Amino acid sequence: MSERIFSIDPERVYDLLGQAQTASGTLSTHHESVDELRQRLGAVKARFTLGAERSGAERELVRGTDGQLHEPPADLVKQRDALQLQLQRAQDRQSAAAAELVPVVTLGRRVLEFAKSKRMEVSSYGF
Amino acid sequence: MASKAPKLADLDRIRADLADAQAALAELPGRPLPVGEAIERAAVWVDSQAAAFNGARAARACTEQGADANIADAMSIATRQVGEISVRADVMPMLSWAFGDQLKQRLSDEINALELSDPIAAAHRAPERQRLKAEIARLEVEEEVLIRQLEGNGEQVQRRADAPIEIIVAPDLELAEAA
Repeated sequence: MSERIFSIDPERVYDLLGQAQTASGTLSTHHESVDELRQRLGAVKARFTLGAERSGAERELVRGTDGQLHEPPADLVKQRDALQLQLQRAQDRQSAAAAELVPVVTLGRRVLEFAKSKRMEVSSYGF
Repeated sequence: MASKAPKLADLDRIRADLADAQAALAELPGRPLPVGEAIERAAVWVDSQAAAFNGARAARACTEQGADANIADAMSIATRQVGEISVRADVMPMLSWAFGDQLKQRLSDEINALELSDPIAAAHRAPERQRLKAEIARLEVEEEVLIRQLEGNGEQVQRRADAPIEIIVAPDLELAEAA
C-alpha cells in the first residue's frame, strides 16, 4: 500500500455532513409519518371490540351510545381499512428510504468523528 | 480525442474488483503452505524434536542401578510432579530420535494426500499482502475519482458506508495525482 497521506478539503467534509444531516432528517420524517398513522389507526381500532358468536367464531363489533354491541358502521370500517393501507404504504416508503439513506448517515457519522479528530468546527452537526 | 464518459457500470466493476481484493486479503492468513514447503517444515520439526532428546542420558539411566523410573524420566516419558506442577510426559523427542525418518515419511505421505486449496509459500505471503493492500488503495482512489466524475455529470451516486474517509474528503488534485 502506498500509505499516501492526503490533505483535507473542508468543503467536502461539510458537504458530506450536510448530506448526512439531510438524510437523517428525511428518515425522521418517514418515522414520524409512520408513527402518526400508527396512532391514528390505533385510535380507530380501539373503537372496535370483538364479540363471540354462538358458533365460537369472533367478529368485530362496536359499542353504541346505548351501551350495546352493534355491527360496525361502514364508514368506520372504511376509515380503518384506508388507514391500514396508508400505514402499509408509509412503511414501504420508510423501508425504501432506509435502504438508501442509512448508509449516507452511517458514512456521515464516520466523517463527523474524523472531522472532530482533526479539530474542525462541526458542533452544528448531529445525526 | 474525446474522453470516455464515466458510467455507473464502471463503478460497479471497480467495486467488484475492490470486494475481490478485500476478500483475498482476508483469506490470505488462512491459505496453506505448498506441499513441498509443508514437507520440509515437517522434517525440520521432527529434527528439532529429535535434537531435544538426550540419548546419552537415556543410555546412562539404563546403566544405573535402582528404580526403572529413572529411565522413564531420562526418556521424558514419565509424568513428573515438580512441587505443585505436573510436568507432562512428552514422547515426541524420543520418537523423533528413534524413528525420525519413518515419521518424516509418514507425514510426507499424509501431506501429499491432502487437497490444498490455493497454497502460497511463506516467503510470498508478505509481498502478496503488500500487493493486495496497494491494489485496494488504488481501487479506492479510482472509485472516489469516478464518483466525483459521475456526480459532476449529474448522476446520483451513493458512497459506501465504509468508504475510507481520508480519500473521500481529499482534494480533487491530490486524488487525480494518486489515481
